[in-house]
Parts: sequence; C-alpha cells; structure tokens
Amino acid sequence: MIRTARFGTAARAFGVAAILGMALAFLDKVALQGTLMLAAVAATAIAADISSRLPDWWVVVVEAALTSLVIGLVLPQGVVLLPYLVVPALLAGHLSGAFRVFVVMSVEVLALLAVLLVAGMLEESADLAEIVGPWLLTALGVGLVSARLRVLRGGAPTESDESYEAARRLLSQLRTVARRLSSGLDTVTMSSHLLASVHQHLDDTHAAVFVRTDGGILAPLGFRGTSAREALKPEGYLIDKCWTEMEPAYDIQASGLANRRHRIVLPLRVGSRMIGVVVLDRPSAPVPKAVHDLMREVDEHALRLDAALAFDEIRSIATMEERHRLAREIHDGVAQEIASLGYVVDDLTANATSDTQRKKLNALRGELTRVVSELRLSIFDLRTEVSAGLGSALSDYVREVGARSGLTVHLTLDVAPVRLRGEVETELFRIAQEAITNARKHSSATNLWVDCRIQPPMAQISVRDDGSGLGVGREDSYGIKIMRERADRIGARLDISENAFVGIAPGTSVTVTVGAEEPALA
Amino acid sequence: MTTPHTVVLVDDHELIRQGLAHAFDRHDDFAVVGEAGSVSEGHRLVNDLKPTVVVTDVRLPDGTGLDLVRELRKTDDEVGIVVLTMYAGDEQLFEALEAGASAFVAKDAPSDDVVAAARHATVSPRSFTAANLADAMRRRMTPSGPQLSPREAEVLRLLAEGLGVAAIARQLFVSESTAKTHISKIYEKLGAANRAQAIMNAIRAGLLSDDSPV
Repeated sequence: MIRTARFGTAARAFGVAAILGMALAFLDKVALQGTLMLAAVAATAIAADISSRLPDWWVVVVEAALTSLVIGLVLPQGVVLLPYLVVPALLAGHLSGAFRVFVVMSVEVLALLAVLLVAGMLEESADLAEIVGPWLLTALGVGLVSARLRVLRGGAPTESDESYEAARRLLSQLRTVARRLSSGLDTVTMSSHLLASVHQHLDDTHAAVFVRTDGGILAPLGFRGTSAREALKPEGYLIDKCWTEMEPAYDIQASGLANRRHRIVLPLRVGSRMIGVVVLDRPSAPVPKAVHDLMREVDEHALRLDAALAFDEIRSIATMEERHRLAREIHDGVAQEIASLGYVVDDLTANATSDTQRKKLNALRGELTRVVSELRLSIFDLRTEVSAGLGSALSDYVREVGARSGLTVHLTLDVAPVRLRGEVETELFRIAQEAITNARKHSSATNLWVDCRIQPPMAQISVRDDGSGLGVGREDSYGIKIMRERADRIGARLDISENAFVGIAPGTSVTVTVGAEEPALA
Repeated sequence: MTTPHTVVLVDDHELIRQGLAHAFDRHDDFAVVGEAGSVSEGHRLVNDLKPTVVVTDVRLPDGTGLDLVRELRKTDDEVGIVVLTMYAGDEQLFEALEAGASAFVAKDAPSDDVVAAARHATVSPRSFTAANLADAMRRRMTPSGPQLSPREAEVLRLLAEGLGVAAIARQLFVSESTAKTHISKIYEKLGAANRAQAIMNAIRAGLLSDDSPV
C-alpha cells in the first residue's frame, strides 16, 4: 500500500511538473489554468491514496475521468496538457494489470468526448483527433508496458504468493524438461556424462563426482577409472578450498616421486551455490587454459545435475505420499471388509450344525485370517520409511516380518554412521523389502538370511532363503521387474540366483550392490 | 449367572461392529450396550453408559483410539479396555500398553479372541495381554543403535577390558595396523573421540553390559 502510494505520488508529481514546464514555456494562460486544475486533481488523488480509505483502483478511475474533463475543457489551446493522460494509464497498469488499463483508457476517451460534445466542438473533432490521438495511444502503450512490468516483478503483492508462483513456473518447466529428455532426469547417467566430458578434456587416470546431501555430507554419485573408489575420497583441504572459493583447486599429491599424482578438484556450482565437486587425478600438471575451458561445460553439467537431484527429491516425496495414501486406502477399505467377513465366518462356525461344516468353515476362516495378515503387512510395508537410516529401518522391518511369518530370520548388519543419499537408501530398502516379501510368500523357506553392509559410497544388501528356489516364471515376475527398475534408478547392480550351498533345498539369493563398481559410461 | 459385563464398541466400520456385536451375543456373560464410530462419540457413550469393557479401534475419523484410551484411563482404573487394530508393528502394541489398555488384538484374529481379551480385561483391567507379547518384548530389548561387525564387537570387548592396541592385535592374531583400523571404525560408529567415550557410548547403546570390567 505505502509503496504503491509512493509510486503514485512520484508519477503524478512528474506529470504535473512536465506539463507545468511546457505551459510556462508557452506562457499560455489557459494552459496554466488547466495545469493548476490538474495539479489539484493530482494532489487530491495523492491524498486519497495516502489516507487509504478509498481503494487505489477507484481513485485512479475518478482521476482519469477528471483529468480528461480538465483537458477537454482547455482544448484546443491546452494541448500541452495532453501528456498528462499517460499518468492514469500508467497507474492503472502498475496497480492492476492490462485489463484495467483498457478500462481507464475508455474512461478517458469517454470523458473527453463528453466534454467536447457539451462544449460543441465536435465539428472540429477531426483536427482534434490528430492532436489527441497520439497521446491517447501513448497512454495506452505506457499503461500496457507498466502492466507487463507488474507481471514480471511477480504480480501478486505478498511474498509467499510470489514464491508459490515461482515454484509453479519452475515445476512446469521441470515437467517439460523431464518429458523432453529421453533419459529423463537421471542423476547416475548425468554424472557419467559429466565424468566423460571431464575425461575428454583432462585425460585423468580416475575421477569421481561427489554431491552434497541433506546432512551436508558429500556423497559419491559416480566414479570413473580403476581404483577411483580407493584413491578419491570426499574429504581433504583441496575440496575445502574448492568449496569456499568456488573455483577449481589444484595440487600435487606427494606419494613418492615415482608416482606423483596431480589432483584437481572442480566445483559443481549453480549460481552462487555449490552442489558438489569433481575430484580427479592425472599424471601431469593440468594446463590452466584447458581447465578454464572445461569449467564452462562443467557449469552446464552442474545445472542439469542440480535439476536432476531436485527432481529425485521431489519424486521421492511424491512417492512417499502416494504410498501413505495407498496404505490408508487399504486400511480403511478392503482390509476392514475382509476382517468383518472373518467375523461373519466366526459366527457361522459357532452355529455350525455338523462337523464337516465346521471343518470347512474353519478352513475358510484360516484363509481369511491369512489374507488379512497379508494386508496388514502390506499396510506396514507401505507405511515404513527409512528416515532413521537404512540399517535401523531394515532391522526393524526384518524383525517385524520374522515375528509375523514362520521364517527364522538371521540378520547381520555392518553399518557406518555416514549415510547414503536419501533416494539411494529408499530404493535399497524397497528392493530388500520386495526380496524378503518374495521369499516369505513364494519360497516356502524356513530360514532367511539378510546381510546388510553399508559403507558409503558402497552398500550391499543380500537376502537369501533356503526355499524352493526361483522356479518357473519367477525370473521375469512382477516383483523382480520392480526390483530391477529400482536398482537401475540408482545405478545399482542386482543379482538374482539360485544357490546350492544352503543344503538340499536350492534357495534363492537376491543381492543388490551400489557403488562397488563403476557405472557403465553411456 | 450374574449380570453380564456391559460392552461399548468403538469402530468406524459398521460391519466390524456388527461382527463383534454378534460375537459378544454368543457369550452370555457379555452384553453390547452401545456402539460408536468416532472418538468423541465413544467418549460420550462411555461416560453415559459406564460399561465394564470398551473395545476400540486405533484409527478413527476424528483421532486415534489411543487418545480415547488415555482419556478413559486417566479417570478410571476399573474399566477394561481392548485395543483392536489393523496396523501391524510392535510400535502399535507398545503404544497401546503405554496408553493404559488392558489388551491388544489384531483384526486378523478370530472374534472369539476379542471376547477372550475382553474377559481378561474385566478381570484385571490394569494388566496387559496381547498375542506374541513375549516376542515383542524380546525384540524391544535388542538394541537398534549403532551396529558393529562381529570382529569390531570383539575388539570393543577387548578395549573395554583395558587392552592396548598391541595386546588386542596379539589376541586376535592380526597386525597392529589392522587393529587400529578396527578401533577407529568403532570410534567412528559410536561417535567417540577416545577409548573412554567409546566405552561409555557402547554401554549406553547396549553393546556392552555394565558389568564388563572397564
């Protein structure tokens, strides 16, 4: 309100000053009188704005009408006043957008015509149109420009509306981009592209991409070259230096003269923000020009990578909400209905007249209980999150499943305190869930071994059972397809096999490994 | 037969209430006197009818049945409360226990289990019963904090016994540098900067029992 009033005051004061200047230059008495009247109108409008008792918009409409009346009265001598027609249009555009600019312009034209009609000057209208026309058009143009500027600066006045508006724009752009890109916004592929383009310029022996995660930790996204995983760690003064300066950092890693390595850390920056680093070693010192040229490409990659990371995050939030919704739907719908059917069967059983009847009803009750237990576990699956960390989520889940099925679960955990990226944790957890569910439902196993080793960037979860093995049709079954898709999404390797070592029964083994080998370069 | 125990059922699914009502009808010692579909309605009914047992669902349209349990338990130690749920998970069971329920039954159990739980609740409303309660208790006792590998657990035990790096290496037939690696891993996992801290944190996390010589 105050800011709008200040803008209005400035525009009006400038308008009055401009025409006053011209009226004085021509020393025209009528024009001077007209200027005084317009100044009075402007002063009233400013006062009305500041008092805030009237809506700004109505002040502008009345002002437009009065301005046109005054100008109409002093025509044709008062032509110097015509530029002031611009002021109401400008204010209308500034306040409320293009549509209201047209309204104000209509008011101005109507008021002018009305005055000319009353003053009986319509015969001269053709001459007058030549003088007034250009100024009316100018006023319209200025009004529309200011309306456009209003849209550009965010339009709506409150800060939260503006950020929603910005978010909406970004999301629709993201949607377009995600649809257009053939590979979608896939962080793993993007990081291999980035590493490929770095390799092309700098001919490194090995390189790694690290990105910043929620906890502020640098998590590896991709490696290139042999022994990259051992040689390149997301720590050290070079990374710190690169992070604070947001410029490439370079040093010699002194490990004996014979195999001296030259280490370079490239910043992944988006605007004034760091999202990660590329760390690489090469046998000789880099040419500064090559690094400089490369940075332009790296900046582009960084931007894309940032978008992909944001997209990952949004996707996982959306998936989580959808899973919770599904859980609610099953819980409130089909699960309750089947449970109540169970009670109906209990009633029938109690009133059974023969033993055969009772036997059949008992079998039916057993089946219903099994279905409801299955649904309860599905609800539990859908509601379980890895918020407390993959290790503890997995151990809770395995315990729960062990408690509710006939399986004896053997769990070994080797979990470092450093966490993986959130999306990676979620996908690994879902893969393990799926593997455990498959074992429980289809394998008729008695033992289940779950081994979980998390040493970021590496993680490996294996789920083994001593059941009936893969059998026919399981290899390409739905559950396995979903596991493969999940593994692909985080660049993990999924191995499914029958194993002979658990004794007589073949058993199935599902192992998912992430970060242990370099992802294939696309 | 003395006067039957009065029961109020709280569940937003009518078919479930019907099924339970039939189940209680089959038993002469129970009479369902009221049915409610929400926390507030349940609360009102219980206050008006003063039943001996309340059977309540957990997820209700206007809140959780556990709130109702807490609310009732605050003023009444005598009323039997059976929590009935579709949710799986030990967490639900312990929440019901802590809210002051007398029994916990899953919705996949036969309706006679609900009646049996209600009967238990009338006898001893301030004790707690549930299927697999012992298993759940045992699972709860198992720590879920930092997880050490078997080798690290061994090293931790030796550390707690006061052995130095060299002695630990000798005991485990490994090189000193390997022992050092294990120790630094343990420190890292326990978020400790030195031996004393590591041992304290390990005890807190249940990885060492208090009576280990420190």
